[in-house]
Amino acid sequence: MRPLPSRNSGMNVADSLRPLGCLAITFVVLCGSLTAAETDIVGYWNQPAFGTVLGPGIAAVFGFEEDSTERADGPAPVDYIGIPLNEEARARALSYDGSLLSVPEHQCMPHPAQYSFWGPANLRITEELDDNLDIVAYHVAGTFRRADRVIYLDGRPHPSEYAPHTWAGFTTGKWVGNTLVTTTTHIKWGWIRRNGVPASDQATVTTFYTRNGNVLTVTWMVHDPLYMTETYTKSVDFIEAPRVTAAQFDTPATGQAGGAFFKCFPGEELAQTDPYKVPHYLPWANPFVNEVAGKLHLLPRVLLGGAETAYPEYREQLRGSR
Amino acid sequence: MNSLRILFVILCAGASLTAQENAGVHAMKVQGNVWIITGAGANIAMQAGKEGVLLVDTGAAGMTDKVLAAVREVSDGPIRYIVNTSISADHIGGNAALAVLPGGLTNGKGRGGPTPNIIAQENVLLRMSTPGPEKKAPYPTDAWPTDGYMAAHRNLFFNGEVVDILREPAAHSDGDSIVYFRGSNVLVAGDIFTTTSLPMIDRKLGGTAKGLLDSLNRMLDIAVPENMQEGGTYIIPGHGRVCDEADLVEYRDMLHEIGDRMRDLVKVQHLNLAEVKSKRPVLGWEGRYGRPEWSSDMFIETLFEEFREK
Repeated sequence: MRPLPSRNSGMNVADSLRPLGCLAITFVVLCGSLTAAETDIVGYWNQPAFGTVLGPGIAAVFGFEEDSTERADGPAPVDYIGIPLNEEARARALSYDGSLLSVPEHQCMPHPAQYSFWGPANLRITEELDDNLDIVAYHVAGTFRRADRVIYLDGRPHPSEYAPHTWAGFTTGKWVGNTLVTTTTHIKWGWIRRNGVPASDQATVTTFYTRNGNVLTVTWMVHDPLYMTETYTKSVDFIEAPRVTAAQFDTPATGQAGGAFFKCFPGEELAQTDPYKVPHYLPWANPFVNEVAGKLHLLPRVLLGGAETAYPEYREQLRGSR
Repeated sequence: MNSLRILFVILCAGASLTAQENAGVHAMKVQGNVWIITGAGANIAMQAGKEGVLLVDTGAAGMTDKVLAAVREVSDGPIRYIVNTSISADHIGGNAALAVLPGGLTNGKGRGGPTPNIIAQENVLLRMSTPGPEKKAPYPTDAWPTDGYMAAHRNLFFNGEVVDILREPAAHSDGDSIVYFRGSNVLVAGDIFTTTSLPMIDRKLGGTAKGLLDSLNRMLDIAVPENMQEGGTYIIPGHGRVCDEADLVEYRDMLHEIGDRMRDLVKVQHLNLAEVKSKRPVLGWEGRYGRPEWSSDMFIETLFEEFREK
């Protein structure tokens, strides 16, 4: 059983009860220790799995059932429903051609912080301690291509506006009750859906880590003033796992080539006459605008998303569009 | 018209520093022997070591004292070399003040030495020194490059590493250079790449979208990420934050896509300028990079002129 984070935890229960005396404090500390098991996020966390079995008694470790359209090959082109994107984001999304991933400079990009928990992830969360055994930071490893996130709890400021942005961004956090609330800035441009819906480098992300028993729920809110008209919120559940089932990404269970997730070097995937070609569509000539809409018998505009498409009332418009 | 506007922007840059840039002039370590000095107009790159200091660009006029203070936060050595990446006023504004300092020293210790050698592509020297209608050079002699190079590149070995000065023809202007510190693995892009504006193509100074795109691709060839398309070669843009290859990729992709949109509108659909603007070919990056001094419309007008000529 791990100790409750003693500093920056946001759980100053002992302080508030100090006047009640040592007995009360002892009681609270004991209770706190019990609570700690529920609020501690250190450990191994797997995504609920499809059913892959690695060996006798060893549960599956890869693949999860939430948001199934995001898994494997990802969402269909030009399906932005439920995303509060604005016209700028829509124009970029309509320009997206999946062949972009064949460009050498795009081949090794990990999922950015605006998206990463939505992708494949077997989390290994560790803590970094100072000389006094207070927690300086949590290290969250294991999202796609190891854009490991460090969550600083020691009150340090975010970097200069001139500092580089990274895929994981720069994160600070504090405990609020049983939830670790973090703020991430300095993120690179990226995506919030794998069909080209962009996220800008001006976006910030608020993430909530809430543990309930052996389930860790990660909820994150993307605030993107350039591409979103509203905050975009998603959540994913992880299940506590013994170390043996926390597969590394270079195991066959991931469905990826051995080692491909650890160190990625780009190569030539297509024979191009122009080595600097950037595959994309003209936003006014995307050939997939009608594809999903046609299959679902919806008007194409429905699939173009927008904040209104995230709300239940939009169902009425969907009915009207058939 | 656009060229006049952008020239105006460039000439006024020293006087039109944003609030962000006025907030303070600071040196921040990038990696190796290289620092970035921010807040003095355009970004300044500084390489410092046992042999002294090399500056890439000198910021806006009137900022030299603060720039020198930032230099002295890092090094007490003499300024031996200055490289100008272009003729933009917020890149060369400190030339004249720095060029007369013996060895660039301002610390009162009395050490002398030669004044800094100012290196720039020859067209920078020509534009700074060629008399205008009033038979007067646009810039004082002290500000002129002392070494206007004409070749495709110029190399130095300074402070233990090779410094490549590479000519980038017809990009932001016809006098652009990028600077690559091989040992430190830091690339300085000048105004060919910024994180704060749409590509600044000054047609009056010989800039072209094609040349700028070629230059971005060349920089991508130089830059190598450390892992997962991150880190490795760091890039100091003309304005804005320190970047790596992934940021440069984003900028290159943007110009590539906007160029293809313009090609379609101008060469295939044969639209006139007003019609092209109505199609908003910069949509997707208007909010990120557009700004009053170099707006989406001004950028479109510049591209329209170039694509109409092709």
